[in-house]
Amino acid sequence: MMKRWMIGMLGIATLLGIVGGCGKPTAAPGASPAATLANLQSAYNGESNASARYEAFAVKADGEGYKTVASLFRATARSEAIHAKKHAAMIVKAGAVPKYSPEAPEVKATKENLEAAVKGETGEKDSMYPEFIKQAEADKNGGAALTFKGAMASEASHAELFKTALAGLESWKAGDKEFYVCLVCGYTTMDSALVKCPICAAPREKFETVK
Amino acid sequence: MRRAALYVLLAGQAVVILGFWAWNHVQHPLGSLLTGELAGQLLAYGRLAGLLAAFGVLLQLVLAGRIGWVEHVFGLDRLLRFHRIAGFSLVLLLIAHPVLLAFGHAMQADVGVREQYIDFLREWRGVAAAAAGLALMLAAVGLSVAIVRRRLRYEVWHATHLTFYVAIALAFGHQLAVGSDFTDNRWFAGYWVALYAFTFGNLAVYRLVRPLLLFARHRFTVERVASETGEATSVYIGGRAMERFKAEGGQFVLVRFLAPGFRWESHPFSISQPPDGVRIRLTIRHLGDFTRRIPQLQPGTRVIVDGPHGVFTARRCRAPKALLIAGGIGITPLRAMADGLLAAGRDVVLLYANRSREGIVFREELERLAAVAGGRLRVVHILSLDPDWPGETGQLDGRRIARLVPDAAEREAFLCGPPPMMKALRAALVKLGAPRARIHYERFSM
Repeated sequence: MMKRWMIGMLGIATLLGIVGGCGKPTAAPGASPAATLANLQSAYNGESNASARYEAFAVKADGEGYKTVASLFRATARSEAIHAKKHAAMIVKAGAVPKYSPEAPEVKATKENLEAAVKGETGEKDSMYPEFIKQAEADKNGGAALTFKGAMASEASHAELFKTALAGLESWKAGDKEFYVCLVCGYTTMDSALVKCPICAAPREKFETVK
Repeated sequence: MRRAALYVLLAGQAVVILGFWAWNHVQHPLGSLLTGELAGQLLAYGRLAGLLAAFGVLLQLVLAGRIGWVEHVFGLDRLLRFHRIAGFSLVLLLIAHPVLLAFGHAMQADVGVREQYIDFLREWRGVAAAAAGLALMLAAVGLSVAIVRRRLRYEVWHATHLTFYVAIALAFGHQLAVGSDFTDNRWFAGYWVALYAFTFGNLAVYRLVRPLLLFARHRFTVERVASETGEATSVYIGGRAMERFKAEGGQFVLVRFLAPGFRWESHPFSISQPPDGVRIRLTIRHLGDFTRRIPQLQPGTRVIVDGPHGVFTARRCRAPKALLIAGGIGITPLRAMADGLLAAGRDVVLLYANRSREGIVFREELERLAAVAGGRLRVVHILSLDPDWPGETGQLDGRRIARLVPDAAEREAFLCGPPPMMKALRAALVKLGAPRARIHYERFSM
């Protein structure tokens, strides 16, 4: 009986070893730690500027009477600030100093701001972050890959929220909706019944409510 | 066949759990956590450790729960032996779960491991209670380590072991509240609840409902308390409709005497005389605080009887001849089994080892049984510390078995006695040529 138990445990351990080992990143021909550091700087700068831009968009939306859209912009601004902070931590770990070049946000009408936001978020999730992740994995920089992946998944949630706002813009004036931002990874949602962050598994208590 | 079905049932649960877990983690929004960054892998395997630990704890309840459809296949003594080994192994999974998750989440949130663990306790729903449950479980396992266990009274140890139920209740909340495998997958959560319901349903039926139904039907009562030797007492238990209470020689029951000083403890004892339609007899050696009080039991005392349990019965005898080897109070199941073997026409040799003649239980009863068995029962007493004994003196070992029972290897062997003696004699019988499958034994300790 004991022997069978031990064989069973060894079997599970072997299975886990195989599953765990088979996907480990292998050395890629394009490995370049400097490239990942540059990507981290680029992402840090981009997220920092996005955060400032969304804050400005929020003021504009408030001014135009789109209270709920303003809440959404404030929530995404909070989220982008979290991404920036996480990227900055990785840059510091790599022994460098995070560099931020502030850009004056181009603020238009709320509808156009939303369209610009969808375009920006979609570009980040479909193009920028996948490239950065690929490079980080080639450089075996798991920390950077993880922070890029977290930001990418979060940008997808932003894009969906902006699209929803655009689709029913006139009904987004009342300011009756709340948004929830995960303080660990920046995931943003309107789902008040959410129990855990689907990205980083942080509990509901780790979400900040933005109105 | 039934054993194979149970193995399939068990393996099926493991496959379902591993399947759900793998699916959840491969489908993750960040990509497969099983093959991604270290933080994701720590989370994935930390959760797996938790799932397997919880499943293992439920399995432990099934193993030790005296659940009829499991116990009748494997025998409670073997199930309890596995329960002990598995219990110690589970500790690794129980500890791995919070440790791996603390490291994984700390890496993900870019905070220290200690800070992350404190965050678990403060902010994660149900985790502080689960941590208390884990501490209780580890304490209960720690108290079961042989060196500690030997210093504890059975009653104290048993009470600490029962805290496992509290620990399981404390740990359950966090599984559904913050366990990502369940919050992300409603099907898995449903299966998990069903698994708990199935386990506790079986426990309720076999440990609570069944004994109470038996009590309601038979109204078990102590009829008589008789001293067998200075060290052993027989308790005769009768009741209503006893012809419907079926048990076989070699089986045991758990009894709870409803009398002051007894009612809070339930203990297992072998049936030393199978039910004859009127009563059963339990013969109990005065080994501990509880058993030393047995002679004080009064006729008329109500008894809750849980059982019969055990698969150490004459049914296992496929050979025409049987060899029974008893050590001390280990005679009780073999005494009852002898009836069944003789009734089935078997030729029986009983080697009965004791320290001295004063320790021999059922001496006259065995003589009478041999006298009416028409030469089919031979009883040989072997006394280790009684030099004046006219019969066999010294230790019972392989050479003595070979001399006393030259055809020992051809006989179906049944052993019951102190574990070191059984271990040595099992090895001796194998050396004499007895096939392992024909050597049956019952361990007494629970």
